[in-house]
Amino acid sequence: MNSGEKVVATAREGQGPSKDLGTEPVTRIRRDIWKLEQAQQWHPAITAYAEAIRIMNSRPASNPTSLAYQAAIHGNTAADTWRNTCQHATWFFLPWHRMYLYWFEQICRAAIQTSDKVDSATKAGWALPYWNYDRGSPTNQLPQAFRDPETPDGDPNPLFVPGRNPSMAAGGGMPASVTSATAALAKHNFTGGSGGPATSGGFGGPITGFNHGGGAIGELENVPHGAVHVTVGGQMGSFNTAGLDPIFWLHHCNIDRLWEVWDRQTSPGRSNPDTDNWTTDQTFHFRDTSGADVTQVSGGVVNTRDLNYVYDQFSVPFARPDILQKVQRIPLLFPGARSALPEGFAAPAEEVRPDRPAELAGATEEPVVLTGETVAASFSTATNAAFRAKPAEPERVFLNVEEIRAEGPPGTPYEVFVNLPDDDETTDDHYSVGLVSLFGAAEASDPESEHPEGLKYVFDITDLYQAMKQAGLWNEADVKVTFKPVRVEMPEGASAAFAEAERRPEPAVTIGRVSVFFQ
Amino acid sequence: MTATAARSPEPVRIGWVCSLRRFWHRHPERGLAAVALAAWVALLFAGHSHSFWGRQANWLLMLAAMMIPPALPMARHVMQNSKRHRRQRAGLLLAGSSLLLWAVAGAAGVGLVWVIGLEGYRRWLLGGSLLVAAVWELTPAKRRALKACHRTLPLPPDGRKADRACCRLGVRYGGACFRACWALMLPMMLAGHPGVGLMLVLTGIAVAEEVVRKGYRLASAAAVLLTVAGMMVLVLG
Ligand SMILES: [Cu+2]
Repeated sequence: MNSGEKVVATAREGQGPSKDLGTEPVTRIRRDIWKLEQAQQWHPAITAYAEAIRIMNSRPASNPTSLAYQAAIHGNTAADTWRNTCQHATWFFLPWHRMYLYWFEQICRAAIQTSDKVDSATKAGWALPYWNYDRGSPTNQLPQAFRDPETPDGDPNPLFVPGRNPSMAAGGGMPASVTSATAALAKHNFTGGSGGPATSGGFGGPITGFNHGGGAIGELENVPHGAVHVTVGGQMGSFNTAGLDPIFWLHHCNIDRLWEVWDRQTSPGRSNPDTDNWTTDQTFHFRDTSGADVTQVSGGVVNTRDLNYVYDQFSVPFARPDILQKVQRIPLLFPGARSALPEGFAAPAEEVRPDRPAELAGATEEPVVLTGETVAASFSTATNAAFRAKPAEPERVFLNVEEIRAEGPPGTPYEVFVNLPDDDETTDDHYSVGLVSLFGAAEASDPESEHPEGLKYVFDITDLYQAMKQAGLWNEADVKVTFKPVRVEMPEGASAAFAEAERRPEPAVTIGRVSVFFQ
Repeated sequence: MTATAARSPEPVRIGWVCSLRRFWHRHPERGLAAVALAAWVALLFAGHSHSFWGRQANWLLMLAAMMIPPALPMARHVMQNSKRHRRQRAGLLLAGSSLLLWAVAGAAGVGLVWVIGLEGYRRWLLGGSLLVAAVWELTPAKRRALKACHRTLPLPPDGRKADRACCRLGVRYGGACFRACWALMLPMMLAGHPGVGLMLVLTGIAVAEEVVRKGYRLASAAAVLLTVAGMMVLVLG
């Protein structure tokens, strides 16, 4: 494995919680599922989780501590105070899911206490494991305990669900572009702000509350979060059913962990929002282990120690160094370009925005339809009057992928490229601007849903634009944007049937418009 | 030298000038807002004519005053997503096509009331229509219509295609808005000028429900407000 791994901090046992919540005084440690699995097949902590899921599955859906009810908190056709309250495409995405995991973990822990298959040490210290899929093979595969239809005892395995993406079910691995948090962690700002068509979602999502037309989602919510949802597929591919797949909770623990990884970064230091409209104004409702109503606000969950848990480690993955620092792309893309740039050139930080509105420079005339194949669309940005006054050269350039709708849950995420010259796989990365995970595209198309506005992604492509301009590769009259499906990597010794399974028909996804904004 | 330093030095500006500039940039729909404001001023100061055409003109003013404000976020979305040189055109096409249905339906309704001559029943019409509006707030159809108000369309960048998309979006938005707000506008249609206070309340409800992200959650509060208003009109006159 060539991807380096830097351990920023390691949580130690015995460090007391910073705040005593009374009921749960012990700080618990959420561990990497693949490390558990590699230490011991059907590790006691995994068996305990399977028991929790089995017990929760045996409860009626009306019981707030059943798996069906817990999944319905995330998404349900009927909404109430608790159900169908998941927060997507908003800056509440991370805190809401942290609360959601917290109460789910409590319910699991209570269920485990009643199982005779779990030893007392495991009962005392159990916490949800997380799935860090970004450490190369085999961590990018579903852990074996989630793929076996039966437990070692020959009972039905509660961690197994049918209907997942067949290649994932067969042991395929998610490619690095799906699992990597590199682009998300590189974001300096928690939120991309509100208003304006070229407002990115930042790291954690756009400011919402008085939103219209749908904002762009945060980068962590896009990749790896959404990309993993879509790639695992099946129940994981839809809001309403995602929580029914036991891997969902491990996936979200990893997203929760990555929030803390982001928070711990320095130069520049990162910070969570501190305004009242994020920290206190919005109250969320959940159910505790007895099914009673409990409420939390985002400001109360920024420190996991206040919730009596920590992660066993906070590794910063460097799976894709080429997208860690966007500016590194300039010498990668055009070796000669560096010398032509001012000494010490660095792409402006994302928060440096000129004091003028972002202007539409060009867009596609017709929608782009994705059906599982590579598709390209071209348009002109040769606008004669993007700005009223000089300078005519934009300080920031954005690529928007907008008005995305789908007939059903998309089968695969797509990688987006600008001015891709050929089909040479080895040079692809230099022209990539990121992924559109498409998670939630079907829900966003349903006029009855909570988010009927369609999906939108905003990519800051300033550095790529400048480098291409420099190298004469940006043709105003013909900007080409390519969408390539991101496929699961075949496991070793995979059969032809596996490749066939990968080619299953997928619901068509329609991208209403691809546009470039100058600012 | 960093990229930031390489940029031309920003002239020092006073804070509020900056905020004003930013506000100006972020709200291209300000022209339409001015039209709505002008309609309110006209309603406040113009005398009421009870002639047929006076009533029709009054209806158009009330329409501009009350139905442009909830449409401003959609107008903003369309204008921000249009090229600069065709921004005003896009906003006008959207606003015009979305008010078309309202203008026609209203003209017919107002004309009908005038022809039948319901002047004497003004109080009952006003109170009754407020109660109808209260009931409509609680129907699933109202909820669906409010969600439909938030749906957008891809906007091509140039030419006739862009114009057509603006009009199509306007007609669709206008239809959804009509389904959502017809009951709120019913008092205006049946009772002529019902007083600026009541109009402000009704506009407030319409704006809140369309601008707030999950505006349909305000429905029960709006229903209570409308019921109280309706009862007051019926009992107190
Ligand atoms: Cu999720």
